[in-house]
Amino acid sequence: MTCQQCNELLEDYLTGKLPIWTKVALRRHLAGCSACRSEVRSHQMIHQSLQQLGIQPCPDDVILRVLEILQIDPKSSTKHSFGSRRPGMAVRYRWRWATVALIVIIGAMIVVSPKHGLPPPEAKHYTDAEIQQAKDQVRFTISWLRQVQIQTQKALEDQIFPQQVIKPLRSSLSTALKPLFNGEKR
Amino acid sequence: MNQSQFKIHVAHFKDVIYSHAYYFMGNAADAADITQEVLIKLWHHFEKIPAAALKSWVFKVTQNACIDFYRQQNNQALPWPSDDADGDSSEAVPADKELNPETVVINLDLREHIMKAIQRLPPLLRHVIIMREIHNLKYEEIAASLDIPLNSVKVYVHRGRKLLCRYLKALYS
Repeated sequence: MTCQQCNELLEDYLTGKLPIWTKVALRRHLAGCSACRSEVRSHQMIHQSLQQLGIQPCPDDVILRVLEILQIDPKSSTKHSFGSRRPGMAVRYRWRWATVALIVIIGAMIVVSPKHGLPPPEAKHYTDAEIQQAKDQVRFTISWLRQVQIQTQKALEDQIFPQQVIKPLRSSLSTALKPLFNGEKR
Repeated sequence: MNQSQFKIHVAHFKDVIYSHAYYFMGNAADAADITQEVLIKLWHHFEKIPAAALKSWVFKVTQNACIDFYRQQNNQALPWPSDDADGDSSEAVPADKELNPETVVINLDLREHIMKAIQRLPPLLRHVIIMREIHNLKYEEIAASLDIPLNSVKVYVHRGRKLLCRYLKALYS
């Protein structure tokens, strides 16, 4: 990328509108070009300094003078006081109220409808054979995990795996198995 | 437009108009007069302005009022910047290598100096810089308000910042 191209892309870069690849190319150029780097810094500095100026509040007497010229009563009743609300806010609030009303209506419809809410949970009855099968599966899992632990211990003792790899695995496995053993002798 | 609608619009736009005029003219008295003029125009023309274009219209009228005031005070044609990108090459910052942003920013009366620097900008650049940097308008909004192409806005913002940098540097050197 040339300095000319960098200069052209600077505005989009400062406003964060550059595509990622162009940004990468620009940054690469900036890394190697002190003049362009300085240019970017200057622009950023000016941008920040101008942001500090901020909006200048209009004195009230200017507005009162305008209202006087237009023969508008400054104290005439209006829902909006100066500086409090903006045009378009009424519409915005209307949308908010409409959304709230819609949510309330939908909620009411759900509550009133005969099939509202979740159906009560049905108590499922298991047969003895099913319970026995589940117990067997749990026992098998526990025995398999025990085997894993024994094999791991053996590998550790035989120095097959380095200590620093196995130790955390072993401790985490022991922690995981503790509730399953439920006080049984290991 | 009824009075209540007008008051809502006044409440929304008064600071925007006043700020623009204040930073453009550099003094509160002119800014107050311009604000007054624009608000009175708003009252008279509101019915003809589409709601979506109201913001753009307000900025356009404010700019015109500022330029009228500027002409009255300076009694001269406006020095519009040329469209040629290198047109102000003589004004371009020669090399910012020696410009250290920290030395420029760290000061006690930065605001005053920035105000002075803004006053030195050509009117069109001044409008663009105020709209972009102080009112945070999008490029599209600035282009619509000034009736200029989008790319020109980007060029003017860039050129305006460069000039401001040069002026501030001159103030501190």
